[in-house]
Amino acid sequence: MAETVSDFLLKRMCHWGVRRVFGYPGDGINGILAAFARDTHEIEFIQVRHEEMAAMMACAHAKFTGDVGVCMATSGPGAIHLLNGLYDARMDHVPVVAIVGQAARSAMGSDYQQEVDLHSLFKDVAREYVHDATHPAQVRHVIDRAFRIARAERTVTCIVIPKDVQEADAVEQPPHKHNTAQSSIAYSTPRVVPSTPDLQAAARILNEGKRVAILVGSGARRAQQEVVAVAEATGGCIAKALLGLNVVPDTVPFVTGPIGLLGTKPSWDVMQQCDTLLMVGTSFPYSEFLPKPGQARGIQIDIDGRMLGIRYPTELNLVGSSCRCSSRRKTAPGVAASRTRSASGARPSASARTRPPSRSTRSSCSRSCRRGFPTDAS
Amino acid sequence: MTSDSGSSANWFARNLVFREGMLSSISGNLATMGCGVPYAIAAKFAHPGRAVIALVGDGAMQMNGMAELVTIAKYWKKWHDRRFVVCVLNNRDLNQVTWEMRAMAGSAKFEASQDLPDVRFSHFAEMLDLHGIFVNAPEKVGPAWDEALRSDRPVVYEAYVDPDVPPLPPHITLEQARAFTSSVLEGDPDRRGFIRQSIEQLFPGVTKKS
Repeated sequence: MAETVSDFLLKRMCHWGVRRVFGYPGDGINGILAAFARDTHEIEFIQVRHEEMAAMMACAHAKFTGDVGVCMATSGPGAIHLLNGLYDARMDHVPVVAIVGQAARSAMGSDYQQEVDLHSLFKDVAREYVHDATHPAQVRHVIDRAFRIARAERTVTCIVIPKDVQEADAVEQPPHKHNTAQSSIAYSTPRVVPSTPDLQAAARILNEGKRVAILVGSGARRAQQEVVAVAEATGGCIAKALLGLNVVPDTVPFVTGPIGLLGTKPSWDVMQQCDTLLMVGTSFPYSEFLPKPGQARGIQIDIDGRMLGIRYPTELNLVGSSCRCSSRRKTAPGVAASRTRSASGARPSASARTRPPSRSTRSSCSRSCRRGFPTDAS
Repeated sequence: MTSDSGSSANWFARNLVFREGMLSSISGNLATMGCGVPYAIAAKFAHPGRAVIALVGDGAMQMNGMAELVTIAKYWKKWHDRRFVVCVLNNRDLNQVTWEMRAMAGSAKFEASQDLPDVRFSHFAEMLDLHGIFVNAPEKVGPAWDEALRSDRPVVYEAYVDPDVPPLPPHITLEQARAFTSSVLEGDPDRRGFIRQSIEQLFPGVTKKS
């Protein structure tokens, strides 16, 4: 038989690097499931108990691999069940593509069995891209856009495929003429670096700080060495938001552990006492656990400009990849002058901790030596 | 490591020492209940050679986790590395909100909304041909972990724990202390337990702030 739209969907997803789809079957995606059954592209279908969990697994897949997570559900109830897990991915800024069935084109608009308005349903959670593939020649670019936008925006996108389209003959290569789209697969994650004057300004602020607090979130997960280097150079402490707990190991002596309602006393003390706050890749929501406005000079780094300057009145907000921004501020050998500090520096004493005794050495390090950053960041 | 939302996230955040190379996640900004077990399943598929541990409360297990144990039952025989432990903190209470109501609102525990049926999750695991371990004494905790991580199949490690340990913030403001005190005075059904338990946790912060 000719290759169907569903066969092409799997092939195209495979080219996008997808190897696993979390989903639950239903009448609205029978065409796609049939393609899985004859799939030669090595995409595994993982059967869950409930579509909410399929979306959560797709979210977790994205979190644990850095790749796009994919979940699949039938029209109507299956689609509705996805929502909570999709919001989880959206709000934690990880890429997930949801593939959802819909009533056949010939039945749409007739209050058909399991027909709900999927655009309205997904228009908030998948606001960057939710689209029907209503014609086989449209399928390729709808897939390509859903995956590329999910990656580029680190968000949730949704592809809706009516069941009769799923079973139609595929159009792998739309004709080169008017009213077609010629889409591609390529996507490369950019490395974003702020301008040199902004990095110099950041270095100045950090150098002028006497009690530097660093707060990391999951956005700093590829910048462990750089964050530690910043703490080393400034004599600062590192507190961690929930999603950033594995960014820096707790065995590093100047890591004070989690912050917030679920946090530690040392993290609280660091924020209460700091005169400079550096936030890297975090949207930690509870401002009352950060310094009082005006207490500290603040710098924030995030890959997403929308997330900057909303938790603390930072004076410098940098859009950039955390590791690139931080590494540009590393101290070059021989450049920085050493300064001597008293042992009563920024780091709180271990006696303030409420942690179990086994971790009591974690914030006990008040080092006497402090280096500065080169302000001629190059 | 994965954790669900609720008081389990407190112990996950405060008591787990993250070592180099560990991966972890949690539902951060949405903080939805019911994510711990599905996250762990996705983690196992993504990293089949690593041990996966989910820390989940009994409320989240009853909501989503028990159903997804069936998914684990469906797939675990295909895993060459079968180290997979769902650690259920069974305290028969929707504990995070119970404590939030006490500490923030000064409300006594509302049993109609907060009490949970005592479900034997370790038995449920055995029904699914997984391994269940019931841990109800401190001296069993360590040996049970040894047993769980040596098991030839996924494990439900059911820790039968005390709901009267306050999972409270690292600092306590006077306002919260006042609210807490009023919930005690108003006659919280569990007040004896939590006064006996960990009231010490509260007052260093109170005295410091005041």
